[in-house]
Amino acid sequence: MPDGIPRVAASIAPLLLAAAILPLPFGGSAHLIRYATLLWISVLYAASWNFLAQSGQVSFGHAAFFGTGAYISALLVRDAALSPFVSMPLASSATALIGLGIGLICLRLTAWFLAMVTFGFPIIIQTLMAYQLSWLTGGWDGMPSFRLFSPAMPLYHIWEYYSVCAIVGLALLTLHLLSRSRLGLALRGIAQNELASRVSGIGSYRYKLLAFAVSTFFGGLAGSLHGHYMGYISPEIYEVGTSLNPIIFCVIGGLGSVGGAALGAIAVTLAWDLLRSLGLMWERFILFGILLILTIRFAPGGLASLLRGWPPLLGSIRGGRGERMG
Amino acid sequence: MTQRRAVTKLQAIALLAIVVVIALGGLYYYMALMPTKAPPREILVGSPNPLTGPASKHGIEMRNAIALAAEEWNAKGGVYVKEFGRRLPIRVIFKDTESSRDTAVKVMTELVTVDKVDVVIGNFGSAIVFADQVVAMEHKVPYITSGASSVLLTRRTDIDVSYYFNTATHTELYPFYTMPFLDEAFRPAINKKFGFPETRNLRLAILYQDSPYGKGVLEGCKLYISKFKPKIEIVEAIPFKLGETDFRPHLLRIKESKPDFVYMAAFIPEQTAALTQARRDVGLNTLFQSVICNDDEDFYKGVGQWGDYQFQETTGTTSVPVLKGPTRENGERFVKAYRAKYGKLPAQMATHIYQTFNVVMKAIERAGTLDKRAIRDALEGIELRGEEYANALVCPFEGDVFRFTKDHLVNMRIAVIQMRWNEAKGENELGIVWPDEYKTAELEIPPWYAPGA
Amino acid sequence: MIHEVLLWGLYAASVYMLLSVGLNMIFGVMKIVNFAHGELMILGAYITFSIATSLSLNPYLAIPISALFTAILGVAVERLCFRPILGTGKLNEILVGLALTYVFQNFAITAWGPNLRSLGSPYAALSILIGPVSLPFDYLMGIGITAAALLALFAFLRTESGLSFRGTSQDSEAAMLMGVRIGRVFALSFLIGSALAAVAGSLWAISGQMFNPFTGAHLGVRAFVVVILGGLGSIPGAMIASLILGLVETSVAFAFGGVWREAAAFLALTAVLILRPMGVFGGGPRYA
Repeated sequence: MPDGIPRVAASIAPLLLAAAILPLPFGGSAHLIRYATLLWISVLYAASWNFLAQSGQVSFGHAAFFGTGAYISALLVRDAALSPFVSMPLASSATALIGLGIGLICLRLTAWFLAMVTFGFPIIIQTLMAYQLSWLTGGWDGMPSFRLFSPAMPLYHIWEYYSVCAIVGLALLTLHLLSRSRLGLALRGIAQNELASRVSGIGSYRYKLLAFAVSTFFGGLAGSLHGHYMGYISPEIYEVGTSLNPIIFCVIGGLGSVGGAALGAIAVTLAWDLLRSLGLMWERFILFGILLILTIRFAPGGLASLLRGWPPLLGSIRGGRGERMG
Repeated sequence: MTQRRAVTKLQAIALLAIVVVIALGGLYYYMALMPTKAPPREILVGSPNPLTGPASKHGIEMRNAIALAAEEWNAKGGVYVKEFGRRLPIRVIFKDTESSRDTAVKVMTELVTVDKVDVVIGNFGSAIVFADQVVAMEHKVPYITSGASSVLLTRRTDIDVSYYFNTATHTELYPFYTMPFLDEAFRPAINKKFGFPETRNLRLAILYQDSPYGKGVLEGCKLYISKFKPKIEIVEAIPFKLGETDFRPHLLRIKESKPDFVYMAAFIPEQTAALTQARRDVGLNTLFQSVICNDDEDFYKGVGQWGDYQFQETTGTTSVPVLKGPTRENGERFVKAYRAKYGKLPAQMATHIYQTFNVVMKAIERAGTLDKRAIRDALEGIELRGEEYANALVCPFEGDVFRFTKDHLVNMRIAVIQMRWNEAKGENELGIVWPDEYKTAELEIPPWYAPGA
Repeated sequence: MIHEVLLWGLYAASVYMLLSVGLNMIFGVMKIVNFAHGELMILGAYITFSIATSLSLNPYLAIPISALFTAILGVAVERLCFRPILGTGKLNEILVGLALTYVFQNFAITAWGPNLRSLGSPYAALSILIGPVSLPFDYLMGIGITAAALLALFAFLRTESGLSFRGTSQDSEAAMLMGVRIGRVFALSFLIGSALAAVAGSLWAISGQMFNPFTGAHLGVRAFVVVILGGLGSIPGAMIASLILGLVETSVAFAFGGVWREAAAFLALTAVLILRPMGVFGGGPRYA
């Protein structure tokens, strides 16, 4: 099957198109724009997690990278007076370096052992940020993170929205191309059978580290976007929920593809907000839990697997369930 | 596409279900955004609170108190607004923040841009308010919280926070009452009992939650000591993780520092666990002061006999002894009304948001319009005294006047309760031991108390 | 002071033990980690609370009834939620566990409200002097019940049903071929694991902790750390890891202050796993 640019474009295009036209029919409603912006950021975050999962390495602590990206970018803007557009790639690269280090630690770990160790990293980094580095980060009080555009600018929230769309779109495209490249192939091979891959000459450690670097780069990017969008960051960003969200998104959407991650993030967020807007209280958590269980029960390959064989719709969202843990 | 598989019935149903869910979602938002017929003007109050999740206990109490306050105003026909020449009824729109910053930001945007509320009252937790404050300030909607204790909320400089007001007993405030209590009442009491010289410094240990809340209390203590130089020295300050259940190692450390007194900044389950473990487990026979947020029926019940002789800060009304002064009558009435409606004593969060709501309505009355800038200005200039003060507030404020300070904070009075365990009734009895003007009981040093080195 | 730090480290370990042994048993036979284990523990405490207050019963007597209810719930969860998705990928099992935490936490709130509850012990004032330290009677009861439960578990594993249990955890397919009804074994593992969680939760509440549905999270996480540290499926491993974790945490909190307590637990875990990637006792389940 040819894996050319047209295929890629065909897969990302609907998403971008939807993103671009979304604010228009609603007359630039601030509420919808905010909603959509946060949604695109979580799509990117989920896709970054997904990239690592492709290599069979399941992170339970992606908040470590999300939060660190946000902090580094905010610090660069505040203390080095950089524009957020410059600081974000820098912060993402720094996060990727940290990710590489953590990847090195995790190299020999598999399955649950990897999961639990990664689970611990946000806790360790949170302690550092809130306590050891409080002179820099403001500790538990948090610190302001400057917006992408000054709110004094006319129509700045529209600018902000399209900037986030452009960055997320570009990042998703890169992730998609990477997972369709030789690297992605090798990663899926490793996930299927590490030993066999090694025998066939794939240097599994190198590839696994590379997966860590790429995933944490984009995780950091998502975090820095989120930080600059929210305008303020505090150590609460490292909480467990931040780590668990992308897992829920990707498992529900379908592992192994950018489209699956996007589908999951969108479907889960919409379902969740719909339940909330119905005015349900705790019942909605119970209902949500049951919905998750039912989805997995009847679509163990995620929602994307249901779309397989519907080429006119989302041909490239093909939930490859390559990963195996344990 | 190489493999074109037939779609099973199940897949089709699932897909249909997804489409329906998404369509319904879209429809809902469309409906929400449809220009509705302009209803007769009412005062729209937005109230985001954590109604689910770990902080839901507080969120629900705050929602209850606001609902009660709005009901009371509406029973009088609403708030008189001069511009309309009549009383306008109040409608409160409650939203759930789920204790999540993302959700808080979403619902705040919904409140200010879709529901177009006139003011926002409520919310809990400084981290959440730091996030959704940005939205309210951007749209210049007056936003008043009583459940976020960080003083930085009104002092941040990265955005214009001139529309934000904080009526909480902010963390810098606690030590400004607790320290004088220790210096004026507690220190002389132990000096007398143990024959210590008047020049002896009180040895204070601080056990604080590692959070903006706990950190704020610690900073406040340091600030007070450097400013007023009381005969108090901090011999140990130990943080603990939010949600900690095992305080034994912390308490051993404190025991080693030989303190006369422990000031603890914690939430109810933490405070209960620490008090139980201090005397029973590690044999730390000393007295603790627990911070404002534990002035709560649940705490007095849960701590049981380990509460005997221990101290608790209060702003009044939550607990049975309502503080004396002009607000007393209103306080007693509020406690009764709340209890009748919800079957429980109002906790501190409920009390504070209740009086905050009243203050904001008073400000709207004074502004005489629903213009947001005018409401903000009215809040900034508000000064409630005498009759008005006694009817709107339920806790006493400094000088028996309600007004905002320059940085939009308030100065609520804090008194100190000493609990006494009543074995026969199986409950803790509460007596106010400080300051003198509110006193209902004498401070007692228990026979088991051991002073520090 | 040092011996007191050690003592409380040991006590912390005894709290982790019941919870993590139950969790590890489930892993041993089914190869799944039940993320909602901490929530089962809190549900157990709530049920004990309800029985004790409504019948004004000694909470210790309510524990067996609570364990029974929680065990039935555990079996239902295994049958309805985990069994159908077994083998479709580890992440699916994780997701089901996560979904169950939502369901249990919010079910508990719906049933018991968000307020904090406490399980008062009739022996709260009683302490017994052992050597230089005086230990509260409730702690001694807790340690005694924990020891008794663990001994009973070991005794069970020596019986015939216990044999099928051990067989299944070593190789479920082989066990199935040998005529072991592994469906029954799976259900049994959830039954025992959930009952142990209920006992652990009730004892923890009786020891003077106030609880609501969200207070179990910390202990749940500790149980996972213990299980991973000790090696998945190894019950002696879980017991030794409980001891390591209890001692490390307590001494770190004593020496460096409480903020490093949780981080230290994970640093210790990471350090151990770098040296032994399958945990201290890792590499195949062991039961005795």
